[in-house]
Formats: sequence, C-alpha cells, structure tokens
Amino acid sequence: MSRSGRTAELSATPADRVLDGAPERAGEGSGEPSRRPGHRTPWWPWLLLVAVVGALLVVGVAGARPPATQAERVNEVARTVRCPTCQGESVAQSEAEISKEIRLDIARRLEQGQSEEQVRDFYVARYGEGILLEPSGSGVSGLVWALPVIALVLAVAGLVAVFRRWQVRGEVHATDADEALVAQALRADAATPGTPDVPADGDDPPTGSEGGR
Amino acid sequence: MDVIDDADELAPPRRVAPYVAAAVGVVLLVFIGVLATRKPAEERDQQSPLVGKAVPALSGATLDGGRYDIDNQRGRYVLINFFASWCIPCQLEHPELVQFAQRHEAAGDASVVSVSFQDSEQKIRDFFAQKGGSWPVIAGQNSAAIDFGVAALPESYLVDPNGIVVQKFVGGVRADDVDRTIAEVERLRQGAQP
Amino acid sequence: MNVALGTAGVVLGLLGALVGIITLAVGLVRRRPSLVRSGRMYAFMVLGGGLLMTVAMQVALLTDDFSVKFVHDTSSTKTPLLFKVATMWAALEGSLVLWALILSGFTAVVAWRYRDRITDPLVGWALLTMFVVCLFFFGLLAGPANPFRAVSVAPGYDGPGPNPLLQNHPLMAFHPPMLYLGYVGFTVPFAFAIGALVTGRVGEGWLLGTRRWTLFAWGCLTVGIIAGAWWSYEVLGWGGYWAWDPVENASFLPWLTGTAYLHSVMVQERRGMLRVWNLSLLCATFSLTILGTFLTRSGVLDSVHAFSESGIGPWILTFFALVVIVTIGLIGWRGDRLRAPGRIDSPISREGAFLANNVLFAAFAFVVLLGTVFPLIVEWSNGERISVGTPYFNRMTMPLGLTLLFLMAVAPVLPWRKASGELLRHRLLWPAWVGAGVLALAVLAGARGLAPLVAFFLAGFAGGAAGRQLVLATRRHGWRGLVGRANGGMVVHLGVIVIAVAFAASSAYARQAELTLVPGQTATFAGHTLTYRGVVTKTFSNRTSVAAQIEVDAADVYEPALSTFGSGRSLVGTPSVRTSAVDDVALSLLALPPSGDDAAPVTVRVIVQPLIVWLWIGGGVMAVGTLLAIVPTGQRRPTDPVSAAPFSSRGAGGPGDGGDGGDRPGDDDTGPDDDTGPDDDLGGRPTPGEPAVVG
Repeated sequence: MSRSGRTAELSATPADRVLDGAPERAGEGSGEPSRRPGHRTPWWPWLLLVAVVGALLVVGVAGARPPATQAERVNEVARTVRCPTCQGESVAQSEAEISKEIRLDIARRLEQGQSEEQVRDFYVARYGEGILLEPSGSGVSGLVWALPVIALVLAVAGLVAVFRRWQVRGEVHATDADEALVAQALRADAATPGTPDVPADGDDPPTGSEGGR
Repeated sequence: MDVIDDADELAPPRRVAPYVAAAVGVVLLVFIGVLATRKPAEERDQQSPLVGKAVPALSGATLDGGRYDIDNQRGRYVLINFFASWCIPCQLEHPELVQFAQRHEAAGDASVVSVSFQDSEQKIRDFFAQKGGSWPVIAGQNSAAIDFGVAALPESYLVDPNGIVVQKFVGGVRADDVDRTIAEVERLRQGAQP
Repeated sequence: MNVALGTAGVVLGLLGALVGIITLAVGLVRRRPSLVRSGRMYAFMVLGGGLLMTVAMQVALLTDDFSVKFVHDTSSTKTPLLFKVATMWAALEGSLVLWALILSGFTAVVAWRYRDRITDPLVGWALLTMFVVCLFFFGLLAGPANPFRAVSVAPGYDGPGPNPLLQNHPLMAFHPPMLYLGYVGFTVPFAFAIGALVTGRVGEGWLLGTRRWTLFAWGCLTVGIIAGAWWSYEVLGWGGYWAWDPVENASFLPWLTGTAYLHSVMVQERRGMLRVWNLSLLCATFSLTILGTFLTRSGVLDSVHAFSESGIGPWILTFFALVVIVTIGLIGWRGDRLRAPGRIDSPISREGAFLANNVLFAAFAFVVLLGTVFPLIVEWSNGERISVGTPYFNRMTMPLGLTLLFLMAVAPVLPWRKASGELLRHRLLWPAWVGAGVLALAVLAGARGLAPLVAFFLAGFAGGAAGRQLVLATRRHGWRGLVGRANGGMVVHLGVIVIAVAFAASSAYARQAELTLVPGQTATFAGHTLTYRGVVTKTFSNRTSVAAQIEVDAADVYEPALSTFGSGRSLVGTPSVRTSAVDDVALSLLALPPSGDDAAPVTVRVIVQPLIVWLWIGGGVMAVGTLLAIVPTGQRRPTDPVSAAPFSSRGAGGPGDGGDGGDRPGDDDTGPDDDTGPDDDLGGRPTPGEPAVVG
C-alpha cells in the first residue's frame, strides 16, 4: 500500500498535489515532519548518545581482561588445532586420547616460551597444513580469505556505480511526459476504486506502471 | 507478458543476462567437476609432511632398561611403530611386525622400534610376552607421537639408512608392504648413483 | 510383506511422477488443457506412493521386521518406541524416504491448491518441475538407495540399533523432519520460479502466490536448524551448539539465501525490481539444498554427522548439475526480458537497505560455501590437505553479522524511496538509546571485550527499532498490529536479536574446566559450586549408563553419564545441563572410576556459558514471528474499497499517518512507512502514484 503510505505525508488530497506538479519529494529535508514545520530533531541527544556509548566501550575494552592465564593461552591455541582423529572438532573440544596429549604438549611448549605461532608451526611441520582449522594466508589457501573480501568489495563497488548512474540519469528524467502519464494513470485508478491491485493469486499484474520511467 | 520497455528508457537494454549466466555456469560446472573427481574423505591418503625429511629426534629409556636413540641407527632401515596394548588394530598388526623383524634379524639391514602411547609398562610387557617380539620399546614418551604427527594408532614410519623418513603407514602395517617399500627405495638409490 | 509394500510404494511414486511429467509436458507443449488437468491427478498417485512406503517402513521398524535391509542394518528390538520411529531418518536410505514423503506431500498440496488454475501454463510448468524433483528422489529410492531390499535373517537376530548419538535425545525425533520440511518446502517456490522462467511471465503474481510457501519453508528450516543446534548442545558434550560442520553449513546455506530472498522479494513486490535477482536467489536456495544433500550423503567431506558413505553421490551430483544447467540456462535465456526498468532513488531508503541486506547475506552465504568446500578445491589444485574450521568461519562472519545487526536497527524505520538525515535522527533516537542501555547493562554485568560489547549495543539498537515498529503498529491496530508480514517480520527480528546476544555472550564468555573429584568433594568454578556425590548405574532397554551424581550450587543433582549402547561397541557420553536464564552449567563425564571402587575420583568437564537458554527462546520467537507473518491479516483485500481509498482521504492512509491523534513525537512519524501496519498480501504492486514523486 505504497499509495496509502504516501498519502500520509500529504496534507492535501494527494492526487491534487501530484497533479499540481509539486509532488512532495520524500526525505528532502522536509520529508514527513513537514506537517510540523517548526519541528526539528535536535542534535544534542545524539551527541550525548555517542559520548555515552563511547565511554561505555572504553570502559568495557580498557578495563578488559587480566593478562591471559596459561590455561586460556593453551585453550586459545587448542581451539585452532584440529583433532587429528576426529572430524571437524578442535583439540580443545575433543576427548580423543591424542587430543588430550596435544593439549598437554601445547602447554609444555608455551611454558618453554614458544609463541603461539611457533607452536602452531610445529604442528604444521609434523601433521601438515590440515592440522590447523584456520588456513594460512599464503598460497592457494590464502584465497579462502581473499575471495570473500574481493567479492564483497566488487559487489559494493557495483552497487555504488549503479546508484551513481541512477542519480545522474534521475535528474534529467522527470519529464512532463512522465507526469502526464502518471496523472493519467492516477485518474484511471481513482475512477475505478475497486480495481484489484493485482489479479488474484498469480496472474501477471500490469507492468506498465514501472515502465513509466 | 513482456515488460514494457519504455521508449523513455534512455539506453536500450543491453543483453547481459546470457553472458552473466554463462560465466556463472562455467564457474559452477568447474565446481561440479571438482566435486565429481574427489575421492571419498575416508579413502584419502594420509600424507605426512615428514616424508623426505630427516627423522625427528627420538630417544629414551627402553623397557629392557637400555637407552634408545634413533640417531644411532644410521646405516639401516628403521621401522618406528606407534602402538598401545589397548588398541585392537595394534594387537592385530603385531604378528606382521614380528615377521618383519625376523626377516631382517640376520642381515641386520632393518630393525623395529616400538613407541607406546598412553600405556602402562606392565601391560606392554604382557603384550610382548604374549605376542612375541624382542625389539626395543620406548615407553612413557607420549609426546613422541606428536613429534611424528601420529593421528591414530597404530601408525608406523619407515626411516632409511640416512635417517630420512621414506614412508608413513597408517593403520596396521604389513611386513610385505614394508619390504616392498624398502626394495623400491633401494632401486631408486641405485638408479640415482649408478 | 513390508518389503513388498514399501517397494510398491516406491514404484507407485516413481511411476506417478514419470507419467505426470509426460502428461503435463505433452499437455503444455501441445496446449491441451485436458491433458494438463489429468496430469495434475498423478500428484496424488505420487503422494499415495510416498505414504505407502513410509507406512511400510514404519511398520517394519515398529515390528522389528529385520527382513527389510534398512531395519536389519539400523534398528534393534531394544530401541525405545520414539527412537524406532526416528530411526527412519537416522540413516541414509530412510532419510530419503522421509524426504520423498514430504516432497510428495508438497506436490499433492500444490496440485490441490491450484486445482482451479492448473491450465495456467505457469502452474502447469511448476507442477511439472515438482514431478521432476519427485522422479529424482523416488528414483534414488528405487535404485541406488533402496531401503526395502530384502535380506534373510537368522532366527533370533537383533540389529545393532541406530547410532547411539541419535537415540540419545528426543529432539532427534523432531529436528530432521522440521529440517526436511524446510529443505523440501523450498521446492515449491523454486518450481514456480521455473514456471515463471519457462513461460516468461514476469509479473509479481507468482511471487505473491508462493509467498506463504516460502515463509513456511523458511520457518521450518529455521526451527530445524535451531533444534539441531540444541540437539548437539545436549548430546555432544563439548558445550557447543554450532561447529560450522559441513552438515550444519549445508542446512545454513539455503537458510541464508532464503532469508535474502524473503527480504529482496519485498522490493520486487513494491517496486517491481530485482526480478532476475529474486529468481536467482530462489534457484540458488533450491540448488543449495541439493548440494547440501550431496555434501552430507556422498562421503566427500569429513563431518561429525555425515551419513555413512554410499554410492548415491554421483547421482545427486548429476541432479545438481542438471538443476544448475537448467536454471542458469533459463535465466540466461529470459534474464534480459525479465529485467525491470526500475531504479532506486537513494541508498538511504527501505529498498537501499534491502539491497545492502542482500549483499551481506550473499557474502555470508559465499563465505560459508567457500569455507565448506575449500579443502576440496585446494586438494584439487595442489593435492594438499587443509582444514577450514570454526576459527575461520567465526572470524569471517563476525563483521558480516555485526553489519547485519546494524542494518536490522536502521532498516525497519526507513521509508521507501528516500529518507532524510533528519528523519533518521528522529526515528532512530530512542532505539539507539535502547542499545546504549543494553550496552550499559552489559558493562555493569561485567562483560568486557570490544566485539561482544559492540554486538550487545547493536542488538539493543536493532531490538529498539523492531520494538518501535511493533509498538506503533499495536497502538494503532491492537493485536492485529502483530500479524502480517511486516509485523511478524519484526517479531522474527526480535528472535534473531535474542539469538545474536546469546551467541555473542555464550561464545565470548564461556568458561571451561576439567575437575577431578572424589566422592563428597566440592569444587568451585566460575561462581558455581559442584559437589560429587557418587556414581549410579542405570539400565535401560537400549543402554546401560553409569552416571556421576553432581550437586550444582547445593541444590539439584545432575547426572552426566557414560552409556554403553546395545552390543557395547563404544562408550557414549550423555551430558547433563543445569539451565537457568543467566547461565548454563554443562557437565560431561570424562572418565569413570574403576568399577567397584566407590571412593575413586571421577573426571568431569564443566562448561559454564551465559545466556545459552536464550538461543532456544530466540528460536521460538522466530517461529512465532514466522507464523504471525504467515497469518492472513484479513485486511485490505485487493477488492476491498479501502485498498483503493488512499486517494480520497487521509483516513485510509498508512498506519503511521497520525490517525490516532497522538501528537507526541515518536508515534506519528511513520508516515511513509506503511509496513508497520498489517501487511497486505497482494497489494504490493508498483503503483501508478509512485513515479510522479520519483522525480
């Protein structure tokens, strides 16, 4: 009921407004509050909000965790190491004998002062790349990280380009012919209030309306 | 019913759908091809990154009170066997190991060493007493399995006379398979230095 | 007997589908309505076949008829009744029986529902498509995955029973059927999409006709996925509910594309745009259900709950290839014709938000699909074996999830076409403060860390926006303000938000420990006291359990157990969970004391995770929201004069037109935002009134 939606904004009979050639443009500053011309939402509640949220986040992040305990560090590594005998489980989750042993081994190596990266590299050297649940960023396996990012960037860029084109074209596009066409359609519609919006259940609705632009 | 492509539309609609569809289709067909040529997960070979590399350090006290060090075994093949007395495939595999050890006992060109995993010394003694085998057994070194990248028991690694790992055997090993591998390695070595 | 009946059912379904395809195809191509009409009737033959084989299978399972191979291999006399029923979907062939049954049911309902319009080529082609899918699944049952093969049984034979994990929790009886209702349900909109492509009928009519089917399928899939997560949480014993396992991903992928479709279809209904994209999404959703079937049933991927390996992989892959080739071919052929010459005025608008939503969901689905199959691709390219697991998926999907939450906060208040900064500032103010409130609560409760806190803030923000829409709608329409697509959709949003909060909290603040306790000993962990009382042994018909009695917080006693099923091949853990609104204490028994030694220690794994129960509650809210969205609102039939009234007065305007006289800011500002009102099923066509204001 887009039409009904539109009418909500218009104080005069919408059709009249439209025919007047002064269609209200949604959201151009005067959007819907045009009914209360003097009213503007002030900025300060938003500034306050940003300040509050910012402060809370600072408290939440800065007052953060005490330095990771040994057990947590072990768990951190164990979560990224695949249980060699199970399917898809990490060493942290698995109860297989070898997983228990690897957890002990991780603890041992961390205690010896190895970095988490060194520990992981050791397992890769002995079990192969497949022991890590997170593929490395190099070589072919790097694609698993890069491809989604590339795809997302391309999709967003494509959308931006389309919007650009639409906007450029949009300016020159509101012709008198358009308005006349619309007015005609509106009159026709208003004259037959009972016209179904869409032929019941499945037949094709008229598509000309969208084609009007 | 067709979309009424209005004359108003500034640019005539370009025919892009067939090309986009063809591109997507090609990608998907390649993908299907990849799926179609995959072996079932269970059948995939257990490769080991150790193959072709120097054998990791392996030393420790043996059950008979001696010390074992893999580095002292240069000059002959060594079959390193990871096992546990509670593991049923290991029990089934054991006669093959005994056979392999016997075949090479006289010539001394290959030996076996067993490394136990999460097991008690007494049970290992019973295991060997019952099933035979007199090669050294390293007990109580669970981390050795991790050094070699053992996933499940039993697993065996064949090390050549230069201390290079030449093959990983997943599951129960067969004496004939090991001998065939040794023969193959020897053939290659001879071919390399005629 | 059961073998014969079941086989007869399969053959009946197969023949029904085959004859149905031929009759419909001839009727449609030669334009012979009488043939098309009679073709419709074969749908009921297929349904008869599906029912017959299911009954035969159930009778065989319930009466322990081991002469049926499937029962022989998977059931046991000792299996409890509920799990005997559920055994049907606990192994590969039987799960296909369930699949084919549901599919034949959907086919028959389509044939019945559209009986008056069957001669419409679009409906005819849709039904034909359903028959083709039926043919494939009944074909699998007739050939490579025949569950009704006869075997000779030795007297006194008893089967092994289903996989212990699958007879460990009653949810197993409900999770797969719900999931399959969802999977298979997407066949209906897919079939109509194919019909639309073949006939080149581009209108929105078929979309509206299949809207409820899609919602129903989507709702079932949602419930199925969440029930599955619940099952793994209760049964697997590592405190997790989602492991990004290939099987889980296989169910999640069609959910993602289906969700994208449910949103973008609104742009098509409203603006007539994105037609090709929507068709593609429907086709992708259906293809992904078939691909998921392949991944979980061909043994090509490692998975905790993949079905055992079987020879049906190549068949499913061939069908997948067929589906892909046909749909892509059709879209390539028809695509240009279908494209609508519309445009979106501003990215800051409802349609812009839906576009962003689609980009994000598509990216989400791409990440999940890529991660799932990537090991296969790498192996193909260079022979290496790699794994892609939870850390990858969590890292990649977290930004997408947070952005989606943000979108959920902003999108519902956006008007169609164009929004001003002023408008957003006004409408989003108090939802944003709700977010700040949630954030403050979380920080006060001790939550730390950037990602979860941002998630809490955005969740509160999104919850505020959804709540705002619902408050406005109910203020105007009373309880009716909760039904209809837009309002039901807001309820679904609330469910999603609850799940997002529970997910963020439970994964960020999980604590885990292994405790070794002697009888009478008490340990404290993560604010809970645990006292070990002793072990008890219990014997059930299908298993023997040894349970450790653990008293949690000096109140109730929980009994994590280790069970031996049937012939005692393996020890299966049965975790026990103390649930509360704040946190869950999940206990699983890791090691038993040696039998007979009552003073010996046990080892118990304790996992404390906050807000777990809200995952299931959120799932329930989503289900309720979906139902509300499906419910016909009974308002504004297209022939209702009211629906044409907007040109006569303000009174018939959208719900946000200030008709209740309320003048306070905040309740009268939904002007262009009529979707807060009970949604109309059929009124979404682009209206003549719009182009004028496009400018």
